[in-house]
Amino acid sequence: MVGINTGGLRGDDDLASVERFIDQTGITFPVGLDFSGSHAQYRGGPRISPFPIDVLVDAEGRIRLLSYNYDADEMEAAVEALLPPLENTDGGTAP
Amino acid sequence: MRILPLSLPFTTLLFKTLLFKTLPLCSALLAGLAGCIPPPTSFCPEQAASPFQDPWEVRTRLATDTFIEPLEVQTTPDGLVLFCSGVQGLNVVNAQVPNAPVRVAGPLGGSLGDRRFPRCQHIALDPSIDPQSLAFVSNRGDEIQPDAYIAGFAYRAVGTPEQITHNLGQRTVEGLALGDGFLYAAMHNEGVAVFSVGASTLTEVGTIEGLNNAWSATVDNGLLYVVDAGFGLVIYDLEDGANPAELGRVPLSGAPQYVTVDAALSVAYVAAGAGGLHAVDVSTPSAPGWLGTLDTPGSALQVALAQTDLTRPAPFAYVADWNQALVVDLADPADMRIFSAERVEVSDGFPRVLGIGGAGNFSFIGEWTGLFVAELFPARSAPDLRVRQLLLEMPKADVAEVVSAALIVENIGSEPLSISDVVLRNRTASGDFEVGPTSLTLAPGEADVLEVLFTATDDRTAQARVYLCSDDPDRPATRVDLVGNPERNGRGDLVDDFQMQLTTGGTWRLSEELGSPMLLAYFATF
Repeated sequence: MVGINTGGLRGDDDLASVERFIDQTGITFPVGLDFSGSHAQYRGGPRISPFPIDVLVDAEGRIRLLSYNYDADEMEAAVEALLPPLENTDGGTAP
Repeated sequence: MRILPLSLPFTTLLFKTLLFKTLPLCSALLAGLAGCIPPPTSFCPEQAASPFQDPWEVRTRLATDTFIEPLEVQTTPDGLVLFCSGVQGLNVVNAQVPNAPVRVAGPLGGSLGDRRFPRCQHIALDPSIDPQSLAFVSNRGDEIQPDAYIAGFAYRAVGTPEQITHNLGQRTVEGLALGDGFLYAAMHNEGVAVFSVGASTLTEVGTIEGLNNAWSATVDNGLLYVVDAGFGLVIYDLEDGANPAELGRVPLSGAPQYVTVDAALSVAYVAAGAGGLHAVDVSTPSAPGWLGTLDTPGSALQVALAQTDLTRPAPFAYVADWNQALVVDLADPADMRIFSAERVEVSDGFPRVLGIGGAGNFSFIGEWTGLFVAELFPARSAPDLRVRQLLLEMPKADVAEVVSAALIVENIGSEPLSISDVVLRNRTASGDFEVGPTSLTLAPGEADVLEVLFTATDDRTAQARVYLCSDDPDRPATRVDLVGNPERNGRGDLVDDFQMQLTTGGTWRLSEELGSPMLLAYFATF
């Protein structure tokens, strides 16, 4: 998982404000600042808010889920579909 | 199981861009009044009226001239509702006639705040009817309002400016709790700051350490309950209010961020984001014990009790749960159940419920675009349709190719649900959609799948709306938007490569990170 800060409401998010946000939320995954507008590739269409956008990609970089309105169940199902099945210690497969 | 508990802060903090206007709404009882529209049954012309009555009816919405981004909501025993607005600061609403709430004070912003965005996220209040009763609010500090601060208002004195403002500068503050002459402020990785409350000043007198991510707190019967988003619930003795002494702690899953206590039952209820709603036995504060967890559909952000008599256990809890508000049956705290759910009607179809307050059978739902008043009818029961995806994007399709996607439907109500028809509207010419089956019955708690088929007739974007016609009395026609072959990047496309600077230094490039699944979470900090 990687967090991508896109410059904020007025385009003036900076490193200090992003670092403060990381402290406030307690997130531990890598976060970067991208003001190049890479999120524009997902924009357009009905009911689409600019933030947050969650993009789940597979190992080849193909989009498997594009979520404009975080739904825990939807994300969980999409992530589980991408991960290899867990193995039990007895060699079986977890349900 | 929830796999991404840390995504909660993103969901709570990042939806802060568009200014949504809300359609007027009403329950069936209010249909016919000016500015009030009935549920959109006209999309289902063949549908019979539901035989059920909605157990939790939205009555009205507090009229405002702009969007207000309600966050924490608190109520007083004499019918006031206070809510923080991320845009406007503190608002005080007279809800003694719950169906006709009137804003009587506010927006109140701290004098340190930007006048356009005074901002406030959390509230702690003295509920007594003393005219000098104070309500404290916090602003955590961010891009728009860089100084974190705590401001105290004599909220019963209409139009009175704040009496106390305490600038925290580049520190940060989240939830607040008021004790006997002390204010306890959750400060994330700084722990809990303890302030002595003076007539016009706050004096910081100490800090509670030993916490990972202090998010919120409440005071009840001489005890301080602190929720730590990186641990769980911690209880302190306030015999010496300046120096709280830890009594006990219990780990909880998810990201615990709000706590309320039912003193009559000695149970604490903790909203834990993607971890759902926890019930904790606090009858022995030195050894709090987890009782049970309700895996809520969304992210549990605030919990309020439907309690009018504090000597009797609360029968229900109201929960702000991100895309919906919930009424939770507390008859057995170890086995909490959803009694009713509400996705309030907003123009873009995506409600964002960030706070909620309760006063008996009335609740005050803090949704992104306004404060909604809903009334609970405990004797009723009804089916409740929840559609997982309000926007369903189809896999990419070549011309004449047929692709399919699953639309997941659930009955989170307490009676069997009958979907009687599926109606497609607003279809564009670039493709054909089909949805089936067109009728379905779901037992309470049951989920199933409707298959959506898309056939592209050319390479342009195709759209349609589907209405699921059911006997859910609250939403007899539930809308889902369908999109085929979006011109932007979508499901099945290769994501465009890009690079960025990491906060820890160095450059990160997407193409260099491929090889395993990855979640890209776009956000802004405001």
